[in-house]
Amino acid sequence: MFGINMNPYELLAAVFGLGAILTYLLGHFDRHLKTWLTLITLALATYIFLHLPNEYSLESPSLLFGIDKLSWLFGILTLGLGTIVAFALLAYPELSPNFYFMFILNIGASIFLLLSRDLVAFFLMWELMSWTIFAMILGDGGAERGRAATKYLVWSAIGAAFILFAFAILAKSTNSFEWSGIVAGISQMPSGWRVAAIALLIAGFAVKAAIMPMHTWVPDAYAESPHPFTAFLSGVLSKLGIYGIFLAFFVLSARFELVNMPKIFGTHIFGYILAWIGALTAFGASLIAIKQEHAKRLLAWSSISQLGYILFGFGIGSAIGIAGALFHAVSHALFKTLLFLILAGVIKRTGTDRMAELGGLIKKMPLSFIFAVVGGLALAGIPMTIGFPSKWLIYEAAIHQGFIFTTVLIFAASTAVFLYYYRFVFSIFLGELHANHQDVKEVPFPIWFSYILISIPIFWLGLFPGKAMQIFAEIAEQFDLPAVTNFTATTITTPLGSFNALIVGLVFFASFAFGLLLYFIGGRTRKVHQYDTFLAGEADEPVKLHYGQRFFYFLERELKPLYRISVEKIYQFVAEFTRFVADQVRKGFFCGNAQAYLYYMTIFIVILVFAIWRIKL
Amino acid sequence: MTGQILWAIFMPILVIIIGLIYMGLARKITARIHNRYGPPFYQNIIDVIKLFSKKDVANHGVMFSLGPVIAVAGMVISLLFIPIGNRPLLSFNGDIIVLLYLLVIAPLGMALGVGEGANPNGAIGIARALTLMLGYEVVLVIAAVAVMIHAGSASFMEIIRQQQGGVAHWFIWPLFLSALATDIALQAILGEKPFDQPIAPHEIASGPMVEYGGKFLGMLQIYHAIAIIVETGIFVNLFLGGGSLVWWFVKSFAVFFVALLINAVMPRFRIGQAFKFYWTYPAAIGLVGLIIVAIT
Repeated sequence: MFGINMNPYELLAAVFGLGAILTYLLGHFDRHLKTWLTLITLALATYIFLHLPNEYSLESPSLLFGIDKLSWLFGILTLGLGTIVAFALLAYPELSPNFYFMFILNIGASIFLLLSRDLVAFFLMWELMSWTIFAMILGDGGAERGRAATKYLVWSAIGAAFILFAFAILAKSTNSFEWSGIVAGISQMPSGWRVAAIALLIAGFAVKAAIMPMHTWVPDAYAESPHPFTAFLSGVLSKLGIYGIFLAFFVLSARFELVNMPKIFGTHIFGYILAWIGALTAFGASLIAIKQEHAKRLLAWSSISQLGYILFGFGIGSAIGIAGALFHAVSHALFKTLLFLILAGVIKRTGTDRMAELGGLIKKMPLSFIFAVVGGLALAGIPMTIGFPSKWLIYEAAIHQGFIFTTVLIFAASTAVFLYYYRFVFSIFLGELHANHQDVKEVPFPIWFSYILISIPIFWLGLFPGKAMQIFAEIAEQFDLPAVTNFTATTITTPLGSFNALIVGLVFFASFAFGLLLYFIGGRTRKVHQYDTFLAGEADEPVKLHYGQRFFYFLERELKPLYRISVEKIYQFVAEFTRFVADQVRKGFFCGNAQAYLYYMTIFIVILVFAIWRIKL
Repeated sequence: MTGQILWAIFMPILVIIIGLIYMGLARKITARIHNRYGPPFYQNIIDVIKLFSKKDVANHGVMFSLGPVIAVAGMVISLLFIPIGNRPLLSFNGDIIVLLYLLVIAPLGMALGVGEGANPNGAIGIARALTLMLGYEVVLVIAAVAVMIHAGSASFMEIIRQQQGGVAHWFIWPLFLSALATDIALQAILGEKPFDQPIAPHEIASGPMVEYGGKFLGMLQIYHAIAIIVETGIFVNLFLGGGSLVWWFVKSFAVFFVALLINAVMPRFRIGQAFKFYWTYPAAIGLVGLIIVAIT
């Protein structure tokens, strides 16, 4: 390739490494050069990624890499959306070269994480990926960002510790560091260790996948990270946690499920636990999203909620459930990247994400509004967009497997989507335009062009879900999982019912034509000013009346008992308790009495001597 | 095939006329209960014709005008996906869950249009409507899941097929609690008292409709007319066994009539109370019904 005698894997690593360093060094000279270099790096990497051979092993240190359908899917998402986000970055020349350095390294680490086939490579890449995120959240510092980054770092470390511990168990019990060896040897493991390892792995990956109760870093980190990068963080990097959960739950436990695990109605008990955690995450996070005042936090909670759906789909574990969960991973990646990019554009133009201070931007930023609606349709799961088939599969799977209570929770969560989505789009784009936003312009070309690029697959896969289903079927086949096979390019059929996406789309356009016909039958219209509204005589002259603050106050009031439940409070309590106990211990030992210290020293020396004497013997 | 297409074009117009007559009858019946005389039953048809002939209608922008268009379009597409009078048009291309999501297109489009109107009354109306929706949707879903598990299918045609063969086969008997919960949810879906907070003419000046006049209001009337048929139609198909064309509309009007009677004598809940109500009693009734279905 390119006349260079290098393995494509080495070449890929070299592209990422050199790209990052060059971007960092040359980025200091020109404001736009760093973004173009990033784009070139990612384009080269994508080209190489699409031409990777199946296997590659490094002799020393002995690392193993390879590519399969699953890593291909997540890799394409990472590189594709990474490139689109990088394209939008053209409009942000103020970001420092450090950021670009970390961004390229982060994508490189993510790709090699997906390609890694042994535990060492996997863990190294996982850590590199986590640390680069930390650097990007921290950015140039500041108290709030520092706090958010620290919170992220602590959680990330906890997650990594879980993963490392689980890897140690797996490697010790199966005498192998390679995935294939572990998968082969896992059935010989003692069942207690096996369950422990898989539970630890899922808990560790759940941190990155923002699953409750490991989610508390998410709203802060999303709110404080650089705005275009939040799109990537939510859209793509959370999916790496989902990838990890898939590996832990299906690749590892698909084998041990065959052995002996208690089953209820054909789903093993692990699945129930995951499904409940997923459903509660989806439900709880969407209720919290409703009451947010900052748009970025609203979308952050929405991300947590949508990732809960994916976990729920995995928990169901039937063919439809797995396909639905993978589908939702793809669709969430697309629409949440789009929504966060739109918000980034809005913040760029207005300087705030507080929804009460925005409003009426449809008049100034019509393109952003259109794509906010596209993203919202997919988020809400309206047919014709990618959001519908993915949610629909999850519902069908849940009802078919008899997950009745969790189905109700999930449905409530998706109804709540309409509430917070409407709040998002109304408070920012609709309602009254503020006086100080009279001169706001549409977002610059790179940003709105990136909206278009993301919207194409949103509609394409929404009308032809079969294209994606084909890939999911191949993934399922590769890991010996049950696969949905009853589909064509436009139709998916489950045991419960069927859905023809293209027919729905075509009929909607026919109905829309009917609506337009009615519109043109009626008389002329006259454009009026935004203050020319009916206020029932309550205000005699035009006043600013943007309904943006506490949008669902009456609902918040009723949900107060639910809002009182807070995971963060529990952690706070644990922290306070630990501090209290430690304080008591400290007071006991460090009493300020010299004589007591002398006693400690004597005891310590005695123990030391005793220990040395024992070792010598 | 040609017959199907002709029916697909003719049926929405038929449904609009019948729906407008429902609305007229509703006014008449409510008036008689209130001991008034009331307008003639075809009054709403006249109203719509009048609204469409109004000139110089206030317009707040493109999304504002598209709102009613999408509202009508969304309702027409929902209409095509439910079997009316044993005539499945597109029902084989989607099931109950597809319909539940298609039903949302219309209110969502309208909500976006109302938003551009920049009237706080409209936005409050939408916020109330969404809150109410969070309330009743849970009840509706609990009931719908019970039906789907009972029938072993999510397809309308399959559910109707299983209810053929007389009144005794209707799902309202084995799924009585689910039917009851659905009917309570229907009261809010239809926007009848005590759940008419989104409109609340005395508080927020008709809420979402406040800025819409002329042909826009006419389109919203048409939207409402179709919505009544679709929403009562879901109940008829799920619990009352569908039926031939005339029977189907008789059953649908019977369901609407029950809602009207409650509407005529009830005051309005505060929105918070309405939400809380749905998440307590009807949800509990529905859950008991669901558990019974799941066990048997």
